[in-house]
Amino acid sequence: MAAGGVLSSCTRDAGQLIPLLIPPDDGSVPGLAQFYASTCLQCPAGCGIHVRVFEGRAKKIEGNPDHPVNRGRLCARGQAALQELYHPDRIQQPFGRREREGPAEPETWASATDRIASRFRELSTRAAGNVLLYTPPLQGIRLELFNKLAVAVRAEHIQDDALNTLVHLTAAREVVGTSASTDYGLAEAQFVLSLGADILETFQSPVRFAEAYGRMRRDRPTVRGLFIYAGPRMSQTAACADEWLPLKPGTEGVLAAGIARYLIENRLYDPASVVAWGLDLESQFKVLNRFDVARVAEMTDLPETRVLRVSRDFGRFRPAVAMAGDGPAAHTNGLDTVQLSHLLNILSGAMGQEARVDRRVHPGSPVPSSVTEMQTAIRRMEQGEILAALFMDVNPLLTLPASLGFRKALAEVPFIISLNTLPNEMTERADIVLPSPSTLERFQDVYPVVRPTGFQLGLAQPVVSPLYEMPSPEDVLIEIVRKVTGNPRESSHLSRLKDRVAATVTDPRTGLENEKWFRALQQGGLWEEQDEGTLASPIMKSPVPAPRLPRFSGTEQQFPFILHLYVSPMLLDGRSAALPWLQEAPDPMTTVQWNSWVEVNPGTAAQLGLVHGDWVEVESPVASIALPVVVFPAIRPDVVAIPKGQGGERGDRYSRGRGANPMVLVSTETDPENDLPAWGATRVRLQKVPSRGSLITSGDPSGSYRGELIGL
Amino acid sequence: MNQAESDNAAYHWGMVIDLDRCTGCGACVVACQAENNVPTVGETLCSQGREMQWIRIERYWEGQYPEVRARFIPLLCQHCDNAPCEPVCPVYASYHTSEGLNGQVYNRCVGTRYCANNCPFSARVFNFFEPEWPEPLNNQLSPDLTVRSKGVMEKCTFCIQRIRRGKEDAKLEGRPVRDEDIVPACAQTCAPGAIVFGNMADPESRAFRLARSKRRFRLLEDLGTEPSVIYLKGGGREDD
Repeated sequence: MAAGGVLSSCTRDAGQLIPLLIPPDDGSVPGLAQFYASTCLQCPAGCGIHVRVFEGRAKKIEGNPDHPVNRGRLCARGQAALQELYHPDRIQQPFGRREREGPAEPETWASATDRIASRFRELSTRAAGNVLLYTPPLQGIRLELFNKLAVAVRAEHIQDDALNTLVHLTAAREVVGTSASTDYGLAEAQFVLSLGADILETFQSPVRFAEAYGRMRRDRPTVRGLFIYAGPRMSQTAACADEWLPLKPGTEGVLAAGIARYLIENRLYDPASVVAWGLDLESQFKVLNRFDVARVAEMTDLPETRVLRVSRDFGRFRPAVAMAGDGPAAHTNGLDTVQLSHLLNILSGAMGQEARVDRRVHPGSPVPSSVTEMQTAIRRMEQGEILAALFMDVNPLLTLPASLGFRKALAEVPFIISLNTLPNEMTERADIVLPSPSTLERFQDVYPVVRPTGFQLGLAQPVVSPLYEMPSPEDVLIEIVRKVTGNPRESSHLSRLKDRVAATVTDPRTGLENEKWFRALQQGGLWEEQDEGTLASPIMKSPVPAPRLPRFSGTEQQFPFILHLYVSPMLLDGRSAALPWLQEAPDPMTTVQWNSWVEVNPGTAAQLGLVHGDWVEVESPVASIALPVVVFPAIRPDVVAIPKGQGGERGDRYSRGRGANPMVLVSTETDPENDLPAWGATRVRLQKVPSRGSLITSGDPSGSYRGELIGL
Repeated sequence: MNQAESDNAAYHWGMVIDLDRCTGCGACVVACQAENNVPTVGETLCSQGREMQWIRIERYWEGQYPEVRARFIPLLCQHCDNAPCEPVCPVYASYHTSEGLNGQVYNRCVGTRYCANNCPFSARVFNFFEPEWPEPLNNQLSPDLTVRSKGVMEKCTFCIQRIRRGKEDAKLEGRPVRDEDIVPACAQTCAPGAIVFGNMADPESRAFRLARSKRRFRLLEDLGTEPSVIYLKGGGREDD
């Protein structure tokens, strides 16, 4: 063994050192690290990063200490963006397929964009709506270019809301009259109530929230902020809470209504805030009158004492902040829950106060497509009305509920284009595959989902010379528009970006336009400290409505468990599944690595004769999948939970064929009145099946050691 | 080195981890892998407990539903002053530095794994196989430190390359190392600021001051290994 160790370290050749007589033109100095400021694009949070570059290669990503979103911190996904840049399976050049699913043949950029443009032109002259453009919710230049392309080829544009932001945007519009992004003054809060908001892992801006959470807990000498979490499953965020309230799925809004009623009844609200917002307490109380403590306890399945305590504490501590997350938003009554969380903030005075919910209107808030728009587009694909479709940075085959019928509809589209950095389900089916530079190799203007006061725009920039020569997606779009319209004067991506930077609010310190551009490059964006922004005028249209009861697909008799889907803290909705660091990083709650699983309460598991690692068939009214069981001590007995993110069939070497995709189980329930998706409203049943593989956890399933042994 | 020398050293590196801030998110785990050329080993080797991460998040369950709690503890080499891993190495690959670190000389290590057997924290990881970085993934490897080969034991170094760099920068500028000039990768990325690294020989350092908290404890304190990592107990509702 010892000799083997010594010998194996001597197998590599020493190579030859060639001194740099002519210095490289990228400005790199041998032996010296350089840092480039950029913006992380792994999720919509838009954290600022510094990338350490050594002799032309990116080595390490750090949080940018000066960036107001994340203040120098970074999450696991942001750290792992390096592995996207150097991923061994990156698409390196355009490919074309002569037949669907046939072999991919290399193609030049010119011929690929020629084929796309001529097909688009031909289809658009025939009729409007022949072409479909399908992207995530876009902002800035990307939105501008897709709008341009949509006009040029008379296309329909779907902005797929895989992270379910539409409910929050709608709720903000309904309550405060603008679909503004919401910031929460967590650091200053004394009491934080999370209604299923996984603020420390995946919700909106997790690094920003986690940084503030640390300060809320321990930065004030005399105050330790309290944190209460209500939700059917203990998430990693809930594990950090002082108290976890395991309520029935979809009753988060009932709890919020109960607290609001209690605050009004006992005059525990902030009178100034109530006046400022024009909240009519009497009519609001009438609307919520039936949600007294006893009834809330019964509906949520929580003890009365705990409902009473959280209500009293929300009135007692100032500032108190409530936030509603993705889990409750995915129910048929999701809008009610998010709206009621805003009502709680108005009552506590947190809305617009020091510990505030920021209501600033930002230019270009994203506008995700509604459920009807999605369904219509899929129906038109299926009926053969869509004759060409372009997909960019999306994987609807993985992230959409399979019951929407996207897979079948896609097969009817005769011409599919896919733009992506790494291979996935879409690139494997596309007739033309266009590669996209990794997020560390291209420019992009970024508008973080939660924008601090004074924030103008984030800038992502290339930090290394591209590994493979390819234009940015923006320049590809510009090229297609040029070819479709025959107008060669469309300005380039870079000049558009410089215009955007020049158009930002001028800071007296900044001076010349050019200086502003260099400052944006140096900082990774532009922001100013003293800017109040445009505050939405404080109005409340009407009392916030009482929460409706959630509906579920499937009967309780046939399907005894409610399926709780959550975004994986490591892999998100699957967009980070290709990165081996994140596949190997243990899931925080279950410590599972490289796999997916279904979480079952210990009591339920005992009733079904299940132990950790057994396999079950999880069956919903629409489909079934097989998964290994994690006996999970902190989940309601009538709920089972599955993380999203795994189950890709066709992607790169690290994610392909791993785990199962729970989105196939989801029934397409909706909130029809508000045209919102409700993809957390499915019931399932479990059936034990023979083992199909092992489940790997880094910790002991029942906890690594006993807590008391190490003095916890 | 005797006790008196150690007491007189200018630096004694230590770490304070506030469990009331730690959210168990695992950013430190990935940051450490990126900083220290720590390989991934894949599903099969993970199933044999052969993952290579230098820092891991221990998760503990307490109680039963519905009165159940989960707690997280980031666990890394504790850099013990009475380190059980050091005296058992037959080739002196694991040793104690004058600054309180448990050093590991990779090119001395012959892979007996005695040190790992003797570590009560399971903080050491062993290269059972040659690590792999399929091209071009190897471009991410940091030139600041070596890539360890098959048969070599490795573990957290408190980012020794960053300590060196910090001291060199200070020397060039003709000043002592300032508090929080040197930040290991895990502490740098930690969003809630749970990890604080510093010089425990400096009573003015933030780490030293935090380490005097009433909430302090050290892991497996009764073993007497004198860890340099100090934990601060997580909170809970005062009225519980």
